[in-house]
Amino acid sequence: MKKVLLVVYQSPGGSIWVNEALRSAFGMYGEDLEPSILLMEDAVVAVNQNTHPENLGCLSLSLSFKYLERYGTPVYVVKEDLESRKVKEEDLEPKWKVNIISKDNLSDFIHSFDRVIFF
Amino acid sequence: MALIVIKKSPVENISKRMWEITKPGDVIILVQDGIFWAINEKSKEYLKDGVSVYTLKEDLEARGYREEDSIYSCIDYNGWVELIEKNELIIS
Repeated sequence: MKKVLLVVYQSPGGSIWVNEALRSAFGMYGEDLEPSILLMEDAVVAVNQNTHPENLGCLSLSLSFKYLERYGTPVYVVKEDLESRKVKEEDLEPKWKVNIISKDNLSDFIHSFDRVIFF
Repeated sequence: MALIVIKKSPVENISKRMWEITKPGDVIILVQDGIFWAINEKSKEYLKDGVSVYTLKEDLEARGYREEDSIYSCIDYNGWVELIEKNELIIS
């Protein structure tokens, strides 16, 4: 089974890419693929429980929670990007079950996948 | 070894992150607005030892530059396809 990493770097407020990456990941379960999600740069604010793109007329991130739970899709966020955007551990929405990785490990982490797609 | 496709210009932070994740043996191809790295000496600060860089000629010329303006060797679409065939991991 091929391991695929879907990387998002744009904020969920005003861009569709966090939800699109999640939608792509869930679609991969019908194929011989094992998807994971990596949120970096401005996209990390998606895992803040106070983030509500639906207030701007965008899709709600909570739409994905039931699928995240059903499929157990791993979601990774970059520690330094959380810190620079003032997202604290107590702000994290527990339903994301995020795995926090350091920027120093990012290169090895990304190279450990069979395919990597930036959204 | 990975083929890393950089599509964004140096003004976008994500494109700097693409340079940072490279490892020795990797190959970078600069395409779309990523070609602005090819005319920017600052790109050498991000280039790690053992990493090769190519510029997509068509995207360079479409933005008004000539092959000799690129710091890095230029390849055409056929060259890009060859790089895709040679590298098992594509980061794009």
